[in-house]
Amino acid sequence: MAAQPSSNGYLVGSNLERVLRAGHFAVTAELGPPQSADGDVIRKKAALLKGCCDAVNITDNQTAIVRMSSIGAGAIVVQEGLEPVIQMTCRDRNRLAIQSDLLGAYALGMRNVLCLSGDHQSFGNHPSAKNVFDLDSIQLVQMVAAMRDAKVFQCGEPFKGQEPRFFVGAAAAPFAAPVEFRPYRLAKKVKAGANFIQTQLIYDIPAFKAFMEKVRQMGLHEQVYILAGVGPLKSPAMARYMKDSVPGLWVPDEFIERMEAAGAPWADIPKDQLSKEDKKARADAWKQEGICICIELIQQVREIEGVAGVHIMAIEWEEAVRPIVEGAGLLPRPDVSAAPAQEAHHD
Amino acid sequence: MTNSTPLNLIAYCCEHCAYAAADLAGGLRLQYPPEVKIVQIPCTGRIDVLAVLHAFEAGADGVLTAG
Amino acid sequence: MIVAEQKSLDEMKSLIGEAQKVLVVGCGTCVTVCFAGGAREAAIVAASLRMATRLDGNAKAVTDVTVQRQCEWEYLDEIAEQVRAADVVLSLGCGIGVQAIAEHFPQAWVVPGLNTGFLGLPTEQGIWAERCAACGDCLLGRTGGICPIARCSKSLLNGPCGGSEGGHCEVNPDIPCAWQLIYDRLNSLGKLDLLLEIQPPKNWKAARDGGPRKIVREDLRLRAEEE
Repeated sequence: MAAQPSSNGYLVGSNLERVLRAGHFAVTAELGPPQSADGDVIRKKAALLKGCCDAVNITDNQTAIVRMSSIGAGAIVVQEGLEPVIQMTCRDRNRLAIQSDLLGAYALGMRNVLCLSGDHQSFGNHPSAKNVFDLDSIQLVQMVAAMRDAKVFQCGEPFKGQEPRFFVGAAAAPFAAPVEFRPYRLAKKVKAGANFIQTQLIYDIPAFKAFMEKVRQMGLHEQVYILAGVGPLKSPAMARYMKDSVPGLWVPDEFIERMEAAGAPWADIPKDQLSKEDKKARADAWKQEGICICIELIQQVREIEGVAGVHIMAIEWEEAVRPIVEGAGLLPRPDVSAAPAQEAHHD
Repeated sequence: MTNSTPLNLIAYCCEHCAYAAADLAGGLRLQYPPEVKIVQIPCTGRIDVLAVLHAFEAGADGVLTAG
Repeated sequence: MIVAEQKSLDEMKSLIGEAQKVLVVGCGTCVTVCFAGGAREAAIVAASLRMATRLDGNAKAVTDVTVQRQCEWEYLDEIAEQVRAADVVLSLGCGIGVQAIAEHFPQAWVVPGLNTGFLGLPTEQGIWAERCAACGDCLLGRTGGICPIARCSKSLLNGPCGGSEGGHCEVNPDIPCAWQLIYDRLNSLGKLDLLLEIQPPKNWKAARDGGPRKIVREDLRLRAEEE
């Protein structure tokens, strides 16, 4: 998949770009690297995801907890025959480190980057660390796009050889405050050069429809591929936590009630009398319902004009991805390795 | 409470009320403990941390403000 | 103003160490108005140290003096004799004051009595909040007079990030989201179009990241022959 610069009509020719350009409804998933140096963790997770998504996001010290590097884990994912989307945050690296890491990532066969600000380090396991935030996510998008298109470093100097060519992604949080500004901030990311967008988890479909309507009014859906973020709920407690404690996440009560209903057979048993088997059965029932809800969400976002795919975030639950994708009728994933580039969507 | 050395108390008294009351008590020949040393001040609003610290530093066992 | 707060008495005592003659130096400017190191605080600290060391069985001679500004040589000249006589100078100035005394009196042993916090203002009685990060390249003209460098937890130039919620920052509900403030202010002033411009990466060279900074005003300098 090593794409030579634009020779085939693609920006980079990554599988994700090809799938999107061919007009398929794209599926990306998330793979969280371990808090260890154990590459087998990546291999096992890659095996769970292989064949059921078009590319897999490798998180970058998510929630500011130190994990195996996104690029290190991404190299293993490439070896395993999957295509990574390297997540790159602005929290831990200045513009020098980001650029040099991206040169390495390209040389190791990676072709997609998701540009993020990054969770603040105060949430992680090194809260006293100095943050960097030399660039913000929008500046990062600009830089990575310019590395590919203008073939220059951020300082303006040209590369001395092959430039890194990445399909450039950015995130969108449609329900973070101030909500009315979010489409405009998305527009800035598009203007900065984002090729695809992966949104924060969507549970509130009417609110997301309203967001997408504004996005369409602004014509953004024609300039960027928007992948709606979805994820399976694991328990009523997780649903409530997301609703109450995670900024930018709107979880309708309906889903919390459905999760509670799934655990209803065990609801009347006093907590201390729940056997291990009971707990396992209840957890399975919750997970089953969480997967069902996720499938419904995918089917609903798929109907929204301008949504080009889904990004499935099954946090530390990669096993859930295949049943979700299968349940949503999105298997098998298209083989676009030989597809010629369709009419230019971006240029 | 027994103590080998006599107590040493500083009373910061506002000249308009508490100090005037002490004066009147004297006029009426009322007794009050000899350990209490009265310091006349224009107003208890004049009291600050430093006045209290200085009293303690000078050997006071306790400080009373009255106004 | 520069906003600071006092170190604990225990820490001050440990910084003074074995010294017997202690000079507490207050500062009459910023730290006076934030009640950390003015004349009153210097007198209180001195009295407290006298009593505390007496209780410890090693009464030290602690005196205090306050200058108009510790950060200017001419005011420090006034206390040269007292500094010379002291074993240690406990500065209740900000970090600038401590260093000014150290720089001006090469023989003096100077220790800080304050922790210097930030550049800010009192938002109400007893509460001070950070407003300026002294980044050296002021962008307040683009943000409606609200600084995202000092007031956004991530110092984002194209905020708000996804962690803005209900007007506050996800880092701490006590922190107002600077970008919500900027958004609201520009909205009320009809200048939201300013937010549609992508702000380019900041030149942090003008900030501390470029190394210690210095401003030279040739028009104000004394010529060699005049000095």
